Amino acid sequence: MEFNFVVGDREEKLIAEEKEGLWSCTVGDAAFEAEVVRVGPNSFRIVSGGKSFVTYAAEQDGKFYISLGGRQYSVARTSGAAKRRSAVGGALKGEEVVAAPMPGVIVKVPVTEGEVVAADAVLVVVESMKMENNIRAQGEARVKRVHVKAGDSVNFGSALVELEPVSKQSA
Amino acid sequence: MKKILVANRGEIALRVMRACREMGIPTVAVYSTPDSAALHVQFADEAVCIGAPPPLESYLNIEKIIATAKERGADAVHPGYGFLAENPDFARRCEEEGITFIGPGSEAMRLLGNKVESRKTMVAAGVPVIPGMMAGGSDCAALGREATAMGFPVLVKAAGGGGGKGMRIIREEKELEESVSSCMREAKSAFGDATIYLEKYIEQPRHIEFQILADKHGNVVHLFERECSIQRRYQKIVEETPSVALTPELRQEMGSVAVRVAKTAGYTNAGTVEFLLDQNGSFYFLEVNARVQVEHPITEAVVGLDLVKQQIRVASGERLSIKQEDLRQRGHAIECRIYAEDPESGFLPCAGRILFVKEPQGPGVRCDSGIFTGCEVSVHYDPILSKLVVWDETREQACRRMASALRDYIILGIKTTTSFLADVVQHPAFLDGKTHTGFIPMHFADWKMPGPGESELRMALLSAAAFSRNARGGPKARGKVGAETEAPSPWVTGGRWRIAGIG
Repeated sequence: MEFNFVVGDREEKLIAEEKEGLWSCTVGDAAFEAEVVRVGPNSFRIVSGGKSFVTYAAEQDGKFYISLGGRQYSVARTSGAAKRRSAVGGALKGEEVVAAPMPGVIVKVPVTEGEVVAADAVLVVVESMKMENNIRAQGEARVKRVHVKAGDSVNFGSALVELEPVSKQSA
Repeated sequence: MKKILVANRGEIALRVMRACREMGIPTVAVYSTPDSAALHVQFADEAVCIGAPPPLESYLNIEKIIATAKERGADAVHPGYGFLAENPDFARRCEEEGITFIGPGSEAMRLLGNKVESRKTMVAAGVPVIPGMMAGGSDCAALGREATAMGFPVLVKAAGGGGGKGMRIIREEKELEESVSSCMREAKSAFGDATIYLEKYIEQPRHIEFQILADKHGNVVHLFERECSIQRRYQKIVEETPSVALTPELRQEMGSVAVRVAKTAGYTNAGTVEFLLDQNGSFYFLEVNARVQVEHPITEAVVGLDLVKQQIRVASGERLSIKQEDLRQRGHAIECRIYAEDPESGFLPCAGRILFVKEPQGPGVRCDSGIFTGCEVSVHYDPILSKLVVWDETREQACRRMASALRDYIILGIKTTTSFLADVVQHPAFLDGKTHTGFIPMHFADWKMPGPGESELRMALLSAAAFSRNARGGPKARGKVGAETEAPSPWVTGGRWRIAGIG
């Protein structure tokens, strides 16, 4: 079995053979063996190189959540939802879709379409879990489209406003 | 009391219901539509759906809650913290309907719940207050003149409630209008009252509060201090008792001021008198939290009392059975609040489904939790998931116990603060007791979850692979290699995978 991962910014390949709970693995150039015992629906005891680990795992929408040693890591297919979302943003050359960084309810949209906003200007105010969060412009830009209005509910990643470079329209 | 309606949700509703069950008092839970499977609904003897997810339609719906109490024959209401806990209109409505409100009377609450009014009263009683505070209002021009007069930086806060909701530091006059209007909206949304107030901002103070307990016969005791200096967005995330900053003399002095505050206000039931302690050892009265506090368990751990049971006894008219001179602090207790937030990106709230929970155990470990495997964390409510409380003989041992317990606290599926908090309680400055309200911005502004080391990386990859292979089979599927290899595994056919620290 061959698994391709991206670790932070680095690609990692896991090659593994499993027999009766004994895994023979290669990550990068290093080979190792591990005995994997599933001790619960979401937990594993792994013995490798004389060391014992307990890990916890869960999966949702093709993304794995792993906890070990008090730290949490996510392991996800790069062809998953996150990749598709960033592809939409990337398709707009020189323009930016400002997406909701959290699910919530729109409190206020202080900008209007066509308006030029300064860096750090508040574009949208989103209330989530009783806190207001100001979504700000990264740099000077013109508001091309406004997708939301006060009272709208948004999900993580929903498009809020579209920005374009100021020079583009004045040219 | 024959039956108690608990007008809250999450861990505090459970906390109250446990006390009720132990006292032999049946409970009624109220809940909003998405909370039908919530733990507090599961625990209660009776449960009634009172409306839609937005708090104003359910957990803040006074008339609906009163009607439910009457319909179910509940003769008392416990409001928990947040929601209606410090709403004097709710306390008054309970009084009018002959329902015992487990908390202070509506008049004392009205006085103390409003920071502007309570400050005036306390100044008159000789209680030290922060310089430069002013009357509440929402006229931006007038607020601007007042702020300029007292000198920037100033703090703007909601007059009608606590928890840091709406609070902002204003360093320059040009920030005033935006900050004030945001604060007013948050105040209106959280407490139903847009009134705000300004005060002079004190640099690097400690937040020290005193737990008080008052019966309806004029007896008031304090249960010593809690230090709650470790805050993000002006909201406490780590609390401890005793505070390293208090000498026995200062403790006694602040404690007696706290008792005087309660007596001045005619306060009954459990409450908390909050102070700021500046770097010169001067302390200033901030406000009274007229409710059971989120961090009450650390006081319970060091004084050996059950505060919720005390609240219920006092509310039913019993006299306090404890005297000030009998109270002692024993050992050291710390609480960490576990929030559904991402500490790597400004503590943004993270709603979603919790895929797996395992709570820590062991001597001196208490976990007050409102979550379970499979539950949904809603965008409509405060992102607190649970509170992890440890007790040990000394502060140093308590810090170690907390770090160990946090390491054993597994929550998968959403981002939480467990790993961040473990780093906080092991930070050299924290271990030295050098805590102040700017601690997190100073030491943890750019905190990132450490990436996996070589062996962690291997184990994480292997765990994901093993979980994927055995996901449908459970523990017994292990070793059935033949059956597994018949079907194409998604791990063989799938594309590239990404591993990273969550966030």
